[in-house]
Amino acid sequence: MLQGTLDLLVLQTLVMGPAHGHTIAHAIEHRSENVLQVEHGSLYPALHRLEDRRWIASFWGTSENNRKARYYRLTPAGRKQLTEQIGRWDQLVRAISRIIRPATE
Amino acid sequence: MGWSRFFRRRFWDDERAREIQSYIEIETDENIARGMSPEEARCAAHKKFGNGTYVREEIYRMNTIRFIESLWQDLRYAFRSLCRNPGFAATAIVTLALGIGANTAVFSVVDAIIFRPLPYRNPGQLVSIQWVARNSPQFPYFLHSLEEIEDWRAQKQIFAAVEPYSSMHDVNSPKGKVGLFPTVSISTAIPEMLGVRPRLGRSFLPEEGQPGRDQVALISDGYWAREFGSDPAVLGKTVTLDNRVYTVVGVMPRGFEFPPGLRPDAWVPWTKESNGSMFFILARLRPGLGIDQAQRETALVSDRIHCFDQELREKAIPALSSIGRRLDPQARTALLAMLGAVGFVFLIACANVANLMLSRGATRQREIAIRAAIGASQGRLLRHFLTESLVLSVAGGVAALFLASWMTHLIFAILPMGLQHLFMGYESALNGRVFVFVGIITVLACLLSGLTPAFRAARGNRILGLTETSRLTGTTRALRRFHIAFQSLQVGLALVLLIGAGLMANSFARLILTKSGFDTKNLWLVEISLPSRDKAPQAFSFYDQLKALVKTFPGVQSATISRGTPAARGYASFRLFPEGASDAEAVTGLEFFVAQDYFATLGIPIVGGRNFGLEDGPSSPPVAIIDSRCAASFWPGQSAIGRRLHSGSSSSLVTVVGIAAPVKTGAFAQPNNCQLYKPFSRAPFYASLVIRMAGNPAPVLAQVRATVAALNPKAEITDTATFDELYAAWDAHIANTPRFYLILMLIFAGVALATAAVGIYGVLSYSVAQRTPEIGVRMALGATTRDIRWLVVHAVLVPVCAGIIAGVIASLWLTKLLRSLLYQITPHDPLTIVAVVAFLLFASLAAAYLPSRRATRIDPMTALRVE
Repeated sequence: MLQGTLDLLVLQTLVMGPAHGHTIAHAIEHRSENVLQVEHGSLYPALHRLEDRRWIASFWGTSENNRKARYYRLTPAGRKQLTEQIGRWDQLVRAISRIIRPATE
Repeated sequence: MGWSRFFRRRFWDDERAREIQSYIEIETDENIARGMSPEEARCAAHKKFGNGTYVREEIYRMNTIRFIESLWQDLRYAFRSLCRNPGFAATAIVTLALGIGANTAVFSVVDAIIFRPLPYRNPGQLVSIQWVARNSPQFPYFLHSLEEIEDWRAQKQIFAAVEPYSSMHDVNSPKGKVGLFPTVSISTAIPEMLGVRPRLGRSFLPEEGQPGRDQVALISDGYWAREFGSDPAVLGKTVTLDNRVYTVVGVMPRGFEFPPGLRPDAWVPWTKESNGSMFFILARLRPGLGIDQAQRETALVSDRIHCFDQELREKAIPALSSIGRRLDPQARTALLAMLGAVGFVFLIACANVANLMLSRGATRQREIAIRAAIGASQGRLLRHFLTESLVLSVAGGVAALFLASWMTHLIFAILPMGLQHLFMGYESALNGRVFVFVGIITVLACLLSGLTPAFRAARGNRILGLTETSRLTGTTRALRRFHIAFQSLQVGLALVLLIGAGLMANSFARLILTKSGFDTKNLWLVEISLPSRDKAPQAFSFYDQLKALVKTFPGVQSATISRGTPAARGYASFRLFPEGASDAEAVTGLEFFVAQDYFATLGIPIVGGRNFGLEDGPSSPPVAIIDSRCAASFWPGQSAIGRRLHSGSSSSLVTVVGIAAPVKTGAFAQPNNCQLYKPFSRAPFYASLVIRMAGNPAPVLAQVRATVAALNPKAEITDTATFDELYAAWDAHIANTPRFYLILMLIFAGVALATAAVGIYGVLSYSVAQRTPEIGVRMALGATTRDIRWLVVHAVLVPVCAGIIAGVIASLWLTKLLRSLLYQITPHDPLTIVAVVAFLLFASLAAAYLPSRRATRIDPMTALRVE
């Protein structure tokens, strides 16, 4: 997976509302139609980093099947960051497609 | 990433562990819902998650600060490994503590006396104005005219303030207190000019510079504590100085000194009437003016300034000099040389610890190899070993702080009086500068002692370290080279210190053992002070009459008059050089004004030329008698009679008419120090009576007292003593300074020698232990005891000889710094150097003796069976 894209995916997932690590991991996997398969463990350092930058905040809650789980939610700073990162991602994608498929223009 | 995360990294690790646990549980639940068995479900969950420990480690790493984390690890590891080897650790710490402690103690003395800034406002602007000879500016005249002060004050473009003071206030000093100035008279504006206010009471008022109102005094903090028990009610009390009563109006702040380098007991107002032309001028430069520029501007206006002697107008020019220093250059050099000497002790200590660590590093090859094999990089190993030496040197530094405060008191107790005076009040205060010094020197100790061993250890042969037979190879050639380098360094440094100490011991013995050069038995000195208002002719006739009368007393063999006598105060010292020579050849000269019968009365033989006679009157051409040693050094192999000399106190050349045998005078004089006698008629201002008696002195002294009172009721006998007493007191006082430096040097040299010997012994013992199998093989093959002993001693001879050669060369250059402390020997005294080298050689061989004996006692069978 591209460097830094995991952050973007996590932030995007949390737009729908607070979720715990398990949900986030499965959401990314499902929504990418199983293309993006990562070890779910590698999600946690990313969560730690995002929380450290105060883009997400966390709290302990109870999961759907009554397990204690740590929930994450987007902070206002995280929302701003997400908008920025999506913008940058779009730019990057456009730029790359223009290079690899110039004929379609 | 904040510091809070760093300190809470354990909390976060727990947090994340719980979170991971929660993921596994949720995933397991879902897997069970999908129909797996609990066992399968848990397994699949773990598989899905990946390596939980790795994730936790990654998060932990994100929270930590790598450098601090590894430093902390290294520190703990260093502590543990040093605790496993307490003998090594203790030796290294004690060695470093001694080195650092001694340096700290000497530094705090030098800092208080030399580096500490003068306690004045903008001391850089303060200069003294002196008249100097135009063609030899290093000879000041020490004379001024009273009009001159106003002339200088008018030069507002150069000076912001100009004030006179007089450093030597003639006071009745009790015997044994020679050389100190208990009071200094200062212009009433000087405290204000220096920017110093009394800590108690007030400063002088301007009108107190007038006669009649001038009997007020400012006393020093030390005198206040000593005489008045720091009683705040001291103001208004009186002190007696020079038989006059002064009212105390203020107490100066702690550590106040004026003139720079002197802390008198009291300051009294300077008055025009009391000081004649013997005074000093202190000036503050206009702000923004540098001393060089001020000097140029002074030269431009010098024609408008009154000179103390209009006849000297052409020859003399005013010169400005900064007052920034407390000590004269000689004393400064001597004290700084001690800082250098103790620095050598430090270097020897570091070399010793470095050698210890090198040996230790060699025995730890296996440990190093294993650490390298499991992934420690060279840099990491280097850092690890440096941390170890940092732990050692910091422990040494902390121990040194305690040691230093004890040593500082020790040094204070033996400091010569002048320096002790300056150091007083600073002996127990470890101030900021001293702490910074300790910090720097501790880091230096870590690097000097640890860098080479650390590099060696970190880059050592990894493969060799893991092989079983590493013992057989003994010390490697490279390691031995390092050992030799450090040992040579130690021996060389120790030798320089030993030569220094040897020279000073030699010179001190000469100083103590030198005979006075004349018969001191039954010879009495009677010091007489005349009121300074008496002018020269009056004084001259007074002394003449007195001498004539005293000679007629029963019990008096002979009597004479002189200004200045050996072993007593009253002679002036100055620089002296022969006509035609450059003043670079000048030596310190001592000037005596003596009557014709001086030599006969004291019993100093005239060995050439003639004595003074009636022809040497006040207006005849200037003549002098010099001592034979001085004559021989100025004109070797030639007659000195008729030659001419530049002598500091008079501007004209004096002709040598006679040669006298040398007498014992100053301790700081160089070996060719000069005694210069001039006819008494040329300086009959203030003098002493010297009487040779037979029998009971008491009635004679009573008669002298009565006669003095009859001749001049205002004249006063200030002191009577025999020359034996004078020499005893003088020896005790004058010998103080060389004794101090001698004791210091002996201590440094002793510590250096002991450290170097321990170093030689340690390295040799280690190498004998390492080479046991080799020696066993040699013995089995028929080596004799002598061969083995030679094998071991040989290993010492190389570094010792290299060290001796380097040490002798360095000392030829360095001992020049001690020149001012040496009496009658040169800094290159060959006998001393040869004796010290022999001594050092002997000490090194003694240090090698035990290990070599151990080597010869090795049993070849046991040695070989080990393998």
